[in-house]
Amino acid sequence: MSWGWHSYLAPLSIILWFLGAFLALRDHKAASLLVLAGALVTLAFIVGLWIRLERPPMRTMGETRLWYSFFLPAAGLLAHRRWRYSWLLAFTALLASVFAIINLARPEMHSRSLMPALQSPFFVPHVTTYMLSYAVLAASAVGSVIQLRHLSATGQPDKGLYDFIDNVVHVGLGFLMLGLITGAAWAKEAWGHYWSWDPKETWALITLAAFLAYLHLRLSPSRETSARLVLMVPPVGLVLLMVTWLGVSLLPAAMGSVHVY
Amino acid sequence: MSPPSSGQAAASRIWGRPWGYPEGLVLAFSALAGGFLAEWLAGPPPLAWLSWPANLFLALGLAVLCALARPLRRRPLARFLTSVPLSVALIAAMGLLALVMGLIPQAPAPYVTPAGAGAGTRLGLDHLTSSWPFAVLYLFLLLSLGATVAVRLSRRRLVFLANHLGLWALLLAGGLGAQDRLRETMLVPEGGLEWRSQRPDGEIVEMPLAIRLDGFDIEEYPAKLAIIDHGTGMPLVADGRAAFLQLDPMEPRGRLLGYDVELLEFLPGAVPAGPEVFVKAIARATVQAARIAATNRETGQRFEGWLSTGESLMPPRPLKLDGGLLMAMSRPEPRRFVSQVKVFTQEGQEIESVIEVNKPLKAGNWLIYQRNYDTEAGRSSSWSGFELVKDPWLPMAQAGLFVWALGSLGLMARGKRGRP
Ligand code: HEM
Repeated sequence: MSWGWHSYLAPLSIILWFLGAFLALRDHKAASLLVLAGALVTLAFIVGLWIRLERPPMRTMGETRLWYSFFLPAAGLLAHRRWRYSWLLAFTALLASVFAIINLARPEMHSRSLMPALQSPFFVPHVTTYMLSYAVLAASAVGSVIQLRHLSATGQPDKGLYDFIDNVVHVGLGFLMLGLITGAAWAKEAWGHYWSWDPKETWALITLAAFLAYLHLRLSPSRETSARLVLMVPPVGLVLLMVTWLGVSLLPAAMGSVHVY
Repeated sequence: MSPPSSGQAAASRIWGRPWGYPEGLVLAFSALAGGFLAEWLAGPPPLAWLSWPANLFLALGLAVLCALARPLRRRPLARFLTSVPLSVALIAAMGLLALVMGLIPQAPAPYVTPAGAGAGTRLGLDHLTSSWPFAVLYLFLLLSLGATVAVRLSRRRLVFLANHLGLWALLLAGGLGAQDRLRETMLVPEGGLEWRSQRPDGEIVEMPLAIRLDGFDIEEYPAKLAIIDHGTGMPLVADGRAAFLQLDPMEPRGRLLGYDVELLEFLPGAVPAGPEVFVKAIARATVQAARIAATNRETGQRFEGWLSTGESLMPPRPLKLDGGLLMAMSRPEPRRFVSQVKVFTQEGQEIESVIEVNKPLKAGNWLIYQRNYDTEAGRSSSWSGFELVKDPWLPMAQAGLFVWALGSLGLMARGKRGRP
C-alpha cells in the first residue's frame, strides 16, 4: 500500500472517529466500536505501508503521525474499558483525526530509503514507546484540565479522576523512560555515546522533568502546594512534549540535530 | 518501623521545622544562583581535573555521604535531604537548566571561553554542561537521590529502588565519568594501515591499536530524479523543497512537477557503452543508470533516453527536456556501508572482522565505529573513517540503564496503586 491509499483510508478513519466521538459524548454503546474501527483502518494502512516500503514506516514526521493517530485511540479505548470516561474516548478520537488531517493536507513524498544509522533493532521500540507515551500523557493533561474545571465548579476534587490522572502519568512516564532508555542504548551502538545533549534528547529530558515533578508533587499533598498549581503541570508537560516531537526542528538550538529530517 | 514517608510539610513559617517546599525551592535555586555567580567570577570549572582517579574518589565520597543518611535518617537535615519537596525543587531546577540548553545553542565540550565573551557566555548559558551551575546542581541531585535510596532500602520498595538506583548509577557514570571518555578518529586508506588519530584541532596522537582496511563496500538505494534549470544549475522546488521523484522499479510510473515519468529500464550497476547506451557491469567504478520517458503534461511532448549518476571519472548524464530544463539523477543514498578490517592491539591481539554503522567492533578497551567515507567519490571511496571510543565507566552506565528500564516496566505494571 503506497501513500496514495492514505487519501482514501484516512477520510474513512476520520469519519469513523468523528461519529465515535459524537456517540461517546452521548454515552452511546456503539462509540467504542466506531473508534476501534477507525483505529484498525489506520493500523491496516500502517502495515500495508510497512510492507510496501520494506522498512518500518517511522522515519518521517508524516509516518510518526500515522502511529500517533493509531496509538491515541488505542490508549483511549483501553482507558475507556478500565475507567469508563467517555470524554477521554472522544478526545483521543478527535485528536487522532487532527493528525490524520495534517497528513492529508501535507502529503509526504514517498521514499524507501532508510539511512544506515536508522537500521537498528532499537528503531521500532524507540519510536513506538515514545508515541505510546505521548498518547497516554496527552490523556493525563486532559484529565487535569477537567479536574481543574471540577475544582472551580465544586471546590472539591473528583477522587476517581485523581486516581485516573495519577495512574496514567505512571504508565506514560514508564513509556517515556523506556523511549529514552532504548534511545540511549541505540545511540551507544550508532554514535558511540548514550547521551550527547542532542536538542531532541534535551527536550525529552525537559518533558520527563515536568511529569516527574507531577508524580513527586502528588506524593506529598500539602497546604503550600495548591492543588491547582499541581494540576497545571500535566498540561504544561503536554506542551513541552509537543515541542519535543514537532517543534524541535524549528528551534535555533536544533541546528545539526541528528533527529531533524 | 518503616522510614519516614515524604515531607508532610506543615510548617507555617519558612525555616520552621520540618522543612518543606519553600525551603527546598530556596535551597535548590540558591545552589543554582551560587553556581552562576561562580561562573561569572571564576569562569568554567576546571573539569579536566576530574579524571581518573580523582573522579573515582569523588564518586566514593558521594556514595559514603549518601549512605550516611541511613543511620542519620531521623535527623531533620537527613529527612529534608531525602524529602519529596526537595526532590521536586531539584527536578524543577534541573528541568530549568535543560530548558535553557534546549533554547540556546550549546558550544561543544571541552569548553574554552572565547575572548571578549558576552554576559550570556560569562554566566555559562552557552556551555551549561561544562559550567558551575550545572556541576553544583548535578552534585546536589546525586546527593539527594542517593540519600533517598539509602534511607529507603527495603525489599518492599522494588519499583522505587529500581527507578532511583538505576538513575543514580547512570547519572554518576555519565557525569563523573565524562573526563575519562575518549573519542578519537582515524581515516584508513584502502589497503593501508593506520595507528594515529587526528584530533579536531589538528593534533595527531598515536593509538594503542592499529587498523588495516582490507575492503570497503557501499550498497545504495536507487537514486532520485530531479528537474534542473539549465541556466542556474539549481533544482526546481515545490513547497519550498527541491522536488524529487524516487526511482522505484516496483512503481515505474510517477509524476514530477509538470511531467509524467516512466521508468523503462533500471541498472543499479552500469557503465556507459557508447553515447546513448548503458550496460550492466560488475566493475569497481559503476554508476546507476535508468532509461526514462518523460512527457510534458501540458504539451504532450515526450522525451526519452538514458540518465546516469556520476562517478569520479564519469560525469552524471542528464536528460534534456523542453524550456531549458534537464532531468537528472541525484547522488544515491547509501543503504549500507561496510569496512572489512584487521585490527591489531598493543597486547598482540589480532581481530579480523567487518565494521558497519550500528555494529561497532570491540577491540580491547576500545569500541570501533564506522563513521564516514569519501561521499564525493561514493562507491569508489578510497578510504573509510572510523571513530574509536573508550569509556571505562560504561559498564556502570549500562547497569544503571538496565535497572532503570526494569523500574519503568514496574512503574507501568503497578501504576499508582500499591503505595504504602
Ligand atoms: C527516574 C526518575 C524517577 C522516577 C521514575 C521516580 C519515581 C518515584 C516513585 C514512583 C515514587 C513513589 C515511591 C514508591 O512508589 O515507593 C518516588 C518517590 C520519591 N522520589 Fe522519585 N522518581 C524519580 C527520580 C527522582 C529524583 C531525581 C529524585 C530527587 C532527588 C527523587 C526523589 C524521590 C523521593 C524523595 C521520593 C519519596 C519517597 C517516599 O517518600 O516514599 N526521585 N519516586
